[in-house]
Amino acid sequence: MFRWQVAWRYLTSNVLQTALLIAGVALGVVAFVFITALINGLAVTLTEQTTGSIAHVTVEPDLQIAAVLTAQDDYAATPVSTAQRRQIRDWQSLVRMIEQMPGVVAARPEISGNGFLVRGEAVAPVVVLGIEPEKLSVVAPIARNVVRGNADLSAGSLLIGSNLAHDLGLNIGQPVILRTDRDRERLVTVRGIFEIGIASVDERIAYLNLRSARPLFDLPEGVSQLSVKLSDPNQAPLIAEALEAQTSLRTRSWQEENRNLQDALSAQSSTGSLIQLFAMISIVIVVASALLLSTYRRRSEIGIMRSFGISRRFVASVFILQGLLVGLVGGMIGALAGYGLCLWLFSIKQANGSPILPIAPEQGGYLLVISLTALGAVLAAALPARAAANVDPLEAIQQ
Amino acid sequence: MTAILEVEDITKIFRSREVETPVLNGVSFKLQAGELVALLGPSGSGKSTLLSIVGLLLSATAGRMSLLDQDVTHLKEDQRSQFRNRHLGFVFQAHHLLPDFTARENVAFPAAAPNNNLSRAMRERAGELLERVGLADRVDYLSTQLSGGQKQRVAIARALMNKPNLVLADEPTGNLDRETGFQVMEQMKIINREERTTFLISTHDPEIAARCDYRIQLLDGKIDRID
Ligand SMILES: Nc1ncnc2c1ncn2[C@@H]1O[C@H](COP(=O)(O)OP(=O)(O)O)[C@@H](O)[C@H]1O
Ligand SMILES: [Mg+2]
Repeated sequence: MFRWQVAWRYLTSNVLQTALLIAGVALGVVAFVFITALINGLAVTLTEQTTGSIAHVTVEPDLQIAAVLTAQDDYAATPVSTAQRRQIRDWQSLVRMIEQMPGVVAARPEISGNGFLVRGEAVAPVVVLGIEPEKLSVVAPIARNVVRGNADLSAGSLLIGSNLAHDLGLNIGQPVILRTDRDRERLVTVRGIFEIGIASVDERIAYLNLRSARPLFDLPEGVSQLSVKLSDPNQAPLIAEALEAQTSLRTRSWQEENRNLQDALSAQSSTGSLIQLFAMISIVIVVASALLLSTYRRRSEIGIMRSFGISRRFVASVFILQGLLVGLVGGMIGALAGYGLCLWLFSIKQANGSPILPIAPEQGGYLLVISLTALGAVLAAALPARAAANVDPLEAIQQ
Repeated sequence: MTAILEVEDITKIFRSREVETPVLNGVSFKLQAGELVALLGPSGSGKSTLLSIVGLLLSATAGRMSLLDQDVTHLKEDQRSQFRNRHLGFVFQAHHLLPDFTARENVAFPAAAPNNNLSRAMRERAGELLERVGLADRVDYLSTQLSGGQKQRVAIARALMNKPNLVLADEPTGNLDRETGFQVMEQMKIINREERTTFLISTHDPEIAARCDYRIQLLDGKIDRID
């Protein structure tokens, strides 16, 4: 208790100097909080951007290989494909089952395949998605982003992205030939043009009614895949695994398809850790140098204490406690200021309503930074404490 | 009477890289409990050195010493520190008060620090000691707000806080004007009478020395005479 009083008295004896020291510590903490909130915010934003327009879990049929009958007569062998058509036949019950799983928002049956849109001399490759009209916007926010026409997916109508429309010079109400990789074709009418801002979607995807897609891909009853959307994208690997176990179908989570995003996120987080480390090091240096200076200024006082038998432990602990107090106060002030800074930066919005910095003010690592700062400041005080404890009492008296 | 301090054949040689400075050369004497003794000698005769050795702040090069019937010649630093705190009191030429603390806190410090607690009883005792040295109205002043003589009296009160058996005072009046010096000396004398605290006071002022029970004369690192 008396130690705390002495440490406190020392810190408050020179208010300006202590205020500067605490400001220095707080500044390091602000840097720490800012970079932590930014890295975390960036991760959330990137994940949201990525998962906002793709399926979180994709369910596909397993490749089934029929047993091969050994030909009795080698010369009678005919080229028979042993691979069956890949499709999910009982998709209605599967969709119902998946949509009842906790964490699942919706599951969309899809017939997907490759094809071309042909308009006179212009030909463009497309990925055709045959879907139920009411599930148009389950995976990507298409309906919201229709820029021309409307989100009409009745039989024979086609929805395409703005880039694709531009490439083919297509406009609303115009007919175009859709030719698929099963070598079928039909005339469809462009009813809507969307633009969600993701090039790969805006320039490649063509939405078709599920029923119109069936004859084009030779799939009278099954579908080629299910796209599942979750409330929490981070749960995708778990849910994918659970689904695979229950259905014996093949599942893929969005994380498997976006390894480069995971790599980018972990690279970002190592960069963040490095900056956090530098912030901590600068805090330690600031505290150590200030306290070291104070031990030199108080050398004769310390010597006199030692002369009347105050233990080295007591002297050392007074300086350690000064470090702890500076670390705690500086840490808390810095955390508060950092939170304020993050909130302010978060409140500055771009024209489209999103913040200029993808910062997450509530994810600044506040408890972590306060504990680390207190710990760092105590470690920083160790050297000055040692120096103080080793002051020779005679040195002070002889002055 | 029991000897509170026995010094036997103490030698002190300061050694630096090249030079050896012999300062004490076979000093022996005894102090009995309750005595008020002056240590006299010209500047550079080794008074401060001898007091530092007796006060367990400095080790002798050779010789034996016992304090309170305990051989203290070879104590380790932490034991010396504890011994100083419990049994010795120091008053130096410069007051050496802690500037961030009040007179009362300075006086109580030697008791509060080892207990890690500044108790009400300690505050009261510190107040009483300050009253004894005539500073009843300055108890809660910061030490920087006191005059030189007042500071030295606070230092005396501080030396008495843990009821020491022996107080070592190294030219306690050296920085004070004559009148203040005599007052400070008088205070020590009163405490010596009333508490039977033993005092060893170094000085080169014969008038101060005259107020002590007897005088130890130091000359060229040896005791010249005791009278
Ligand atoms: N740390 C030291 N190193 C070398 N010589 C010292 C040291 N301390 C004191 N001396 C020498 O010892 C002698 C006695 O000093 P001191 O005990 O202070 O004398 P006094 O207090 O009687 O004036 C002086 O000559 C001084 O220079
Ligand atoms: Mg001297």
